[in-house]
Amino acid sequence: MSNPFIKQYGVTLDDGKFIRVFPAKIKDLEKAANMLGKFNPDIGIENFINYDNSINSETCEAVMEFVKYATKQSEDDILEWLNVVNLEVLTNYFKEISQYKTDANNKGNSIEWDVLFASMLENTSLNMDDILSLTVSQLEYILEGFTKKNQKMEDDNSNVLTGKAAIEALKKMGNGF
Amino acid sequence: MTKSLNLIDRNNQGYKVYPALIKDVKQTAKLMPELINPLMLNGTKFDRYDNYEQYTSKEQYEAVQELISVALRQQTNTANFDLRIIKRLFIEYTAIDNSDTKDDYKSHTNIVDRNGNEHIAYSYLFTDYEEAIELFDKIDTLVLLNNFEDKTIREQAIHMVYKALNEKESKEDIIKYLDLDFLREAFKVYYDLPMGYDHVLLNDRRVEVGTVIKDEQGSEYRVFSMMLEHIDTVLKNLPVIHNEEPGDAYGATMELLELAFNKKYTREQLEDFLDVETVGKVMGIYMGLPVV
Repeated sequence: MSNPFIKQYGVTLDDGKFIRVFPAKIKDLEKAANMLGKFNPDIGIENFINYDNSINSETCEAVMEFVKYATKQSEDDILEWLNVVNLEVLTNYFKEISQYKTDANNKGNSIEWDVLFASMLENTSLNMDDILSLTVSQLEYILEGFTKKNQKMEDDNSNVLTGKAAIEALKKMGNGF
Repeated sequence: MTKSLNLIDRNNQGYKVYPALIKDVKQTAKLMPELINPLMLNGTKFDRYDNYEQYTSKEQYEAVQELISVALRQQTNTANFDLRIIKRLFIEYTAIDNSDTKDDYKSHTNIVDRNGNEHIAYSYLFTDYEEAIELFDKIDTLVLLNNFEDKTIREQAIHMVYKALNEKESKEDIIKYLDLDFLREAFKVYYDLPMGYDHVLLNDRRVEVGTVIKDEQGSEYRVFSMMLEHIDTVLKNLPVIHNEEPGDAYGATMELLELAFNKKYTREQLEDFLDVETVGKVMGIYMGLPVV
């Protein structure tokens, strides 16, 4: 897993322009879900046109709110490159980098956020605000670190000799026995 | 990385298509209803944009021109843009049904004639829009035989095929192989059907020469549709077969059956393997009726 604290996420447009995409912070997950629920990136221009051929301004605003959040760009800058295909690519990429990978791989197994937060608060010096300001991939990265550290400790403990094996080892060392 | 579609016109000129910018959506929404008829999108999912207002041909033509220039982001000579290529441009620009690949898109279709020769066919050039629509209304897509029967319509049908083949073959050469099956295929390509024309489409695009039928023993025979140059023979024999005129109905039927099998079999051979049911089927194929 590459380090999500330093990695620059983004998509490259057809003209070679790189658009940086920022994954959702944990505290914004619900907000992001709400924004994404207001349009369907798979249906192109249909998102924006009502049945009477007027513009669906609510969708336009929702899309702009989402793209501003995901790219941290100004509306003027966004309007220069955002098209109906880029919107689909950007949205799918944002979803991909904002979701909990383990959860994505184990559909149906919901994350026990309360257990997770309690564990984080207990084992780190992070407070709740710090945790909620992380992105999901950053949180995953830390949890993966915990797992590795625990594994290493278990491996170290399994190397401590006890009983007869310890006596035999000491004998071999010839330490006065 | 996102990828743009490259359209290639009939003269091998490539064009890069740019999907609609969000800031251009309002302009596109205004264009949508004017594009439904000229792009023959009635009866498709795009029908929802039809506001049922009457637009003049000029307005529709200008709407298509505007679509092309905004999707290509340049003023382009659209003389080589045909219906099929503009439809693909429209789908790419709006991303409404964007499941197609982004491979280079060429608009031609190969049609195989009764002799096994391939012909490169295209949908109508947009510069021919008015003429094409006029022809569309005159060609009978339900009873194809009618297009050969009436001299005026026949000439128009031949002209449609001539245009579909990009004027690369003379009308005299076309007549030498033109049959009802080829006419149907050329029609489908020229107007980029399918939508809404199921009766024209009951036959799959012909990839083989003729239609294969089997007799009771399982032997296969190839049946061909009526050639334009046999129209006089058909018109002479049909009333006799239908008992509308006196004459030898059996002989008249056999004469048409010989033509249906491209004169490959003698009457005696035909009598050996044809039963009444098969004759009905063969005549249906010969008259260009859909095979069901």
